[in-house]
Amino acid sequence: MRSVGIEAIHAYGCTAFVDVADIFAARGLDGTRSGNLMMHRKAVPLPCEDVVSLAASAAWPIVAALSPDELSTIRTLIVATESGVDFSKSASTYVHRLLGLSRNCRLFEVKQACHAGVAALRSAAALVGHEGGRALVIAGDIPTAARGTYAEPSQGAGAVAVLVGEPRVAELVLDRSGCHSYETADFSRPRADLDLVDIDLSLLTYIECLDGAFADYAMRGDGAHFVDSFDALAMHTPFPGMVKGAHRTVVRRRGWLAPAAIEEDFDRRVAASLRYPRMVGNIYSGSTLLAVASAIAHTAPEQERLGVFSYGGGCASEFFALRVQPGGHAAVAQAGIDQALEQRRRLTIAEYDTILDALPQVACGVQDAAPDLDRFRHAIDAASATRPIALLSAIKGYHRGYTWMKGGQPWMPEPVM
Amino acid sequence: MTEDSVFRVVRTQICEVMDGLRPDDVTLDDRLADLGADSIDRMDVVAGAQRQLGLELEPRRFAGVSDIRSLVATLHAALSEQSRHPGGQAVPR
Repeated sequence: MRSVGIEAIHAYGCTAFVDVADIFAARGLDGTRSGNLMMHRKAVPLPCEDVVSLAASAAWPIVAALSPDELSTIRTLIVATESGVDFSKSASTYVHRLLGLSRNCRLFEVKQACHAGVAALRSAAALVGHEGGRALVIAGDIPTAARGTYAEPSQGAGAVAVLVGEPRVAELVLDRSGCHSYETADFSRPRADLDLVDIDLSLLTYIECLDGAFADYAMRGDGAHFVDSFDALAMHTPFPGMVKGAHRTVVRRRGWLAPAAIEEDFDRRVAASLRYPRMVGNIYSGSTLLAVASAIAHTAPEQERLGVFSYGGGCASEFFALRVQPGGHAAVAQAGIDQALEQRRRLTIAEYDTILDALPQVACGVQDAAPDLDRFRHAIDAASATRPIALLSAIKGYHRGYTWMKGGQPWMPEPVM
Repeated sequence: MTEDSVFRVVRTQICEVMDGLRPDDVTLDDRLADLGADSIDRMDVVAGAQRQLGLELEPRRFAGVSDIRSLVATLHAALSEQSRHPGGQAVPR
């Protein structure tokens, strides 16, 4: 099997955000709890964005950098989400059309709560390893609003796209991973508009899975040490404080570090992975891949060995390794993710509440809708100033139509033959 | 170990995690959230108490735990199972 890895990675954190401190103040939440949350900004989708448009916007910079010949080698497109727009037809069909990919392409959608993005990445890498070519994996979500709860400040929206092929950014270690999975009731979405969360059970389950998946990983090779074998770590990030708590608990439980050394280890190996999540929030299926992008962009060139832990409620988890290649850190750091996050428009709480009220108008199951793009002109203009973004333009008879916008104007990508 | 001993372990953990809280502030009828503990604090209390008691319980054992009394009862029951089955796991998996 040939060497396979991440050829390119990009993230999209919406066109607008709300400051987490503003949410705490407006909702009357206890500010002393914000310390353990470690969130700064929360990405907010517009009522003309769904998981398809988020996915296409995330993938655009990657696709735009490929020649037509290279684009035609993408033989698999997987969208990982729990915010699908149809129970049968996958979101990848719409994304495939928006990105102008070849018709000689395998399309499907995967679901396993927040583990779905990594499940898709591992599956895509195996396919590419066996049959060659490239695969595009896009993971993202839009949460159901939990207004007024302590979950609200960390509920993000967005997507992460990964081009799987030559290991230009990072090599995937395909022949080794550790899993720990079993049925439990910590998180589920039994209806499109309802998230059921047992937060305490979910935190304990996450920790057990980190412990169990790493133990399985260590057993399936020449041994591995959680501290010594990895220069950096990227983990599923429901909220950054969760990652800090899980790291502390597992390292302490197993005696891998003296208590006094745990904070330094977190700062040195984990904090870089939380830079994007702190600015976006939890994007569920895409959460671990957002942490991966953040870690690669914000660690030093000598931090090559990246340990990745993915967890999805319900539950499934996996620990695996990436080896960041020379130039890989710089490639992701210069991809423009930080700049795009800074270009987003800051919303007032009143604007944010108006958007939350309008989001159900374009949710899964809606038959007809005509989103008013002009209503969100400021955010769209800012986000599309330097690169195109995809937006939902209409739903007619359950079928969704999309448009690309660039510089605030409708824009038509070059067709790929 | 008696339930009261388990309660003292839990109470010590709560005071370690929650700055400014004294042992006398904690009663069996309190809920951790009412004492000001957020989800990370609660996780630290449960993990720390298990560490002190030599337990590693399956997370679902804590489903339905609503107050300190039910947390203590869960930990005490697990310790009792462990003493009845020495050398075995407290919870079959």
